[in-house]
Amino acid sequence: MRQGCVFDIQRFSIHDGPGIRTTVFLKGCPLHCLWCGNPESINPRPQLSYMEDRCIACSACLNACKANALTIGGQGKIVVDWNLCTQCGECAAACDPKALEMVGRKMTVEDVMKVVLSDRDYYRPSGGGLTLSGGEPLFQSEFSTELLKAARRSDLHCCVETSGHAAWSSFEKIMPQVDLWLYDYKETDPDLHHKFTGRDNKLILDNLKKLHDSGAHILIRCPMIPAHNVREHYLEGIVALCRGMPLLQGVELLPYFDLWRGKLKRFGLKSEFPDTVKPPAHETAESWKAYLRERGVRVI
Amino acid sequence: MMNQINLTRRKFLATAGMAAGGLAVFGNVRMADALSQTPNADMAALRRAVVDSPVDVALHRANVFTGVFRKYESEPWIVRKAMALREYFETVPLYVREHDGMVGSISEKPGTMPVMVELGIGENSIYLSENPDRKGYLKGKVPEEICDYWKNRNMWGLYRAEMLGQQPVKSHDELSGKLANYKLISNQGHLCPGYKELLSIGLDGLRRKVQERRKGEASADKLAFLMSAEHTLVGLSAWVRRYSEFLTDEAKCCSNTSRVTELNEMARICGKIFCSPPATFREALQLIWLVQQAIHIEGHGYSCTPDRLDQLLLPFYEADCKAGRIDDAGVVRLVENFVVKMYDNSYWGPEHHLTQGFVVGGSTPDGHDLTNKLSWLMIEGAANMALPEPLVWMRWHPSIDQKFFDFCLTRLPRTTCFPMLWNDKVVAEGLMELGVSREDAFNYVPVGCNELGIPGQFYFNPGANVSYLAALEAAMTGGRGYKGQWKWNGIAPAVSELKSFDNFAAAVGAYMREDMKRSYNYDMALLKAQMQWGQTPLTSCFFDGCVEKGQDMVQGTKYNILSCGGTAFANAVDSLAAVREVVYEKKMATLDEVAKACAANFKGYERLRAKLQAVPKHGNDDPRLDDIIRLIERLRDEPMKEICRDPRDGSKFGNCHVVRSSAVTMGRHTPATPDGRLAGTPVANSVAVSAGCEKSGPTATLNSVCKLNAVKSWQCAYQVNVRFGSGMINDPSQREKLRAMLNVYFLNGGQELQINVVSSATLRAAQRNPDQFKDLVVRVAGFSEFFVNLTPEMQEEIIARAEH
Repeated sequence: MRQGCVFDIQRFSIHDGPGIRTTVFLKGCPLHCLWCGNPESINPRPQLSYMEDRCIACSACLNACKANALTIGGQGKIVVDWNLCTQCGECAAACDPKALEMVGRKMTVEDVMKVVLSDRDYYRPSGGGLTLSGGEPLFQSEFSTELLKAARRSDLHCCVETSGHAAWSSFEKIMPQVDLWLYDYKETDPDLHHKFTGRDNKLILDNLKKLHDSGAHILIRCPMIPAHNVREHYLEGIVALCRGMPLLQGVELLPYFDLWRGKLKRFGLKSEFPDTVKPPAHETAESWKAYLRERGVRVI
Repeated sequence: MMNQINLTRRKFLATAGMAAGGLAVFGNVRMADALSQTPNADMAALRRAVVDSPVDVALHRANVFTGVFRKYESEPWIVRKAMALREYFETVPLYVREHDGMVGSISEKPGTMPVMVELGIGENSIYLSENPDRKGYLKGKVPEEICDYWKNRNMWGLYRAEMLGQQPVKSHDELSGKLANYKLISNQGHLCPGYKELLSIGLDGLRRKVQERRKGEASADKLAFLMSAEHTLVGLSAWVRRYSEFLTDEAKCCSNTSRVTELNEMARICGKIFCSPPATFREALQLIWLVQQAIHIEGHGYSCTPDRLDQLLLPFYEADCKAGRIDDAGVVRLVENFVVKMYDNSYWGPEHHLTQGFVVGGSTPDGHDLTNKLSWLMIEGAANMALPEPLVWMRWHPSIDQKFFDFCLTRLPRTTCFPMLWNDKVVAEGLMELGVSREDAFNYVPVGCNELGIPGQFYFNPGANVSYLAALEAAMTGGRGYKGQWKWNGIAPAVSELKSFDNFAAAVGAYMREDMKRSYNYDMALLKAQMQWGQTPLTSCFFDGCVEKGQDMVQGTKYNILSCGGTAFANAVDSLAAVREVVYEKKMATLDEVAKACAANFKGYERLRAKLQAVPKHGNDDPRLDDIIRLIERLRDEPMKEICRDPRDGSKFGNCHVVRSSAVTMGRHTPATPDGRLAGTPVANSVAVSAGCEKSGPTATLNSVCKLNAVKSWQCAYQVNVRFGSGMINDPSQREKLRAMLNVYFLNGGQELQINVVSSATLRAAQRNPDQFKDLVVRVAGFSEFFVNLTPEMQEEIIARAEH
């Protein structure tokens, strides 16, 4: 049975598509956005997470580690040397209080659907269903397609949240199973797009155009990152995009949030993204919406 | 049925015509704002005065009752009680608060509480089981000679001397701290009198009915009851008439012309309803309020729900509207006034109010929606006053008007928790399971923390308790307890013999049975005491059949359903699951090791604790716990059916799962438990999830609760808390999702739900700046309270609940 690498399944998800949904977060992403909200989602493989406050200083993990990546630190708590860690997961298996845990787990379509269907009673009355997110769901496009097929068999409304950076053939396979696309638009200028995300936006825009022309239901989602993509050129790009694609359902702005920084330490990750960038004030975010609405964009 | 909840957003919009400008799908029109009214200024002023009143003891009742009981020592208890009550009504000094449009108080001074001398020696020594750790704790106000008179003569003293055969006490201080039992702090609590007859024939009609019934009665006992009832009704009428005279005098001394008009109108109303039935909405509401207070004065009567007001008062409201006597704003103002009255004089010890409330909505037995205009206006009036008391309940059912349901949700943030929601279908079916007729079952009302009653037919009364966690401790220690504090012999096999989980579960069950038996016997002795010294002839007049049969309600009402309560359900589920997996399935520790770990509060057993904590916990919709839930229901229900019967008529017991006070208080005295919970920390409330164990979101929590067999095993109520930030309510599209979720929860068999709408950030801010948040109300357990009045540990317990 085909397996996917899932790093979270969030029930009562109410911000990723209509109604009450269950969002399945898949690991692995072709982009490396500087501001990525789920830094643990980029790497396609299971990844060690260490939460020091849960460590009870029992040292059970020390023997389990074959790479000598673990040492005893202050108050007997474990310290991880991320350079030595091979991500084998042996220490996590030995850790009772789950201070060491593998994030990202191999699951079959059946495993995932079991969780998804526990809330099936809530989907129809609220207009909700299943959302695939990531990471990039199309990065595991075969698993995603199988998962959505299973969801369809259970008559669930299906959303896919995508960066758009995938081979068109992946889109073609999954398209018939998708009721609503949540499609990212991160930057207008191709060079800046490359700078911010590691790729330019040509493939993304081409795919969007094809998807739009196929009659798919698409909601555009735009991260709003102060001192980065937020400027008139970007907003105008959104306006132009909507004018060129009249079938788009609307645009949702996602103002920058910085909670992801707390996650970096857990995974031994580092970020170049300046911590001087702060989430925009509510009024600022409202002013962007107003700007777009004045130009005929349907902002949600 | 599904059609009702399967509203698409568009259909919902089409029907939600009352939102100004419609409810834009993607817009930000807030329906709650479109509808919101501000409280009437005079009622807001009255509210402020009431909330800021210092709490004190009022002595008139204590003086009168002591005098009358002393004077008539040879008379039957019930007659003495009635005569004392009558004298109280005829002599109590009256007052009216500035701005108040309604009269009727349980004491002679604003903000004070009477002392129930004949029950337990009063002035809050009746509350000594709770820690006096909050300001306003009352102490040392009752004169020594009154205390001395009652020391061996009140219900508690008589129970000790005559039923337990104990020596009389020399000083009332010897009793302190022992008066914890529910049955001895109130003649009747958790009740819902029926007011239909009162509204139709008035006080004089009731008096005449009693008088008629008395004629030719030969039985001395029945005669004593009927004479007592008559005394109290005469007293009650006199009290109301005295208000009329008092208000007329007040009007004469008043210089404010609009206040003079108001006082004269109030005088006119009292001058009418002291004998005649009411004709208008305001007259009816005033009469109900006076009777509520009278019931309270008579028997403490805490947790008293006044019938179903929106149903009973509808004809009065409609007649008033037709005659142009009142408009909706006028009704809201009266409701505001009514809820402030309910809050006033409701102090009941450091951690409670009197837990009075009112219920709106509901369905007929055949599923017809009974929500009416008054249901809306009563929710609005209560929301405007934003008080922790009265509690406000709404009865959900499958054909509920979804617009009304939505409106109720919009009003949640004002009190953060009202209305609380009940499911007609599950509650009524549960009551039918206990022998209540369909028609009566659908007339239920919530009373008190979260128990049930039926107006004039059934009041809640605990009859036994069972402690799951004590049974677990006993099973793990061979009946000794972690500190060797028990000597339970021969009840279950020794720890070393418990070779399988089934053996262990059977041992837990054996101790539960023993605990229940003991508790049942104890409670039945108290019930006997209550039947002898706890009569309430006046209150009995509002219970069907009491006057007809010539007997007090303590002898039995139409339905007598005593209830057996369990505590800390989630900790019990989690502990059993943890023992099963860690000890018996994975053999990672022995039962004895787990017991030692709990006794040591997990010091030196940190790894074992982690293993126990890693086992699935209740509230996360994990199917591995389903059979544990069934197991606990079985271990509790089987002995209950065998042991527990109402001695009065042999009625079956029902089950309930309510933590009367709070999980904090109980947790303080509970050692560490095999689910990994540390000693002294809060236990789980009712059937809700243990703190910190709710990890899969609200749908998982609600699904978990729905696994309980509410109809068969939880007929007398449980309670469930969920907490959301205010965005969930203020954003119409999010609120719609919440409503959809609640509809599903109730369709799937959820019995009750209380929602707190307040963010952790707000609660933290309130801790830092209590002055700025002095009106912030939170739902604690079976009661609500101003957040800033809670003890620090209770505040922490609220904050620890998962916020969605």
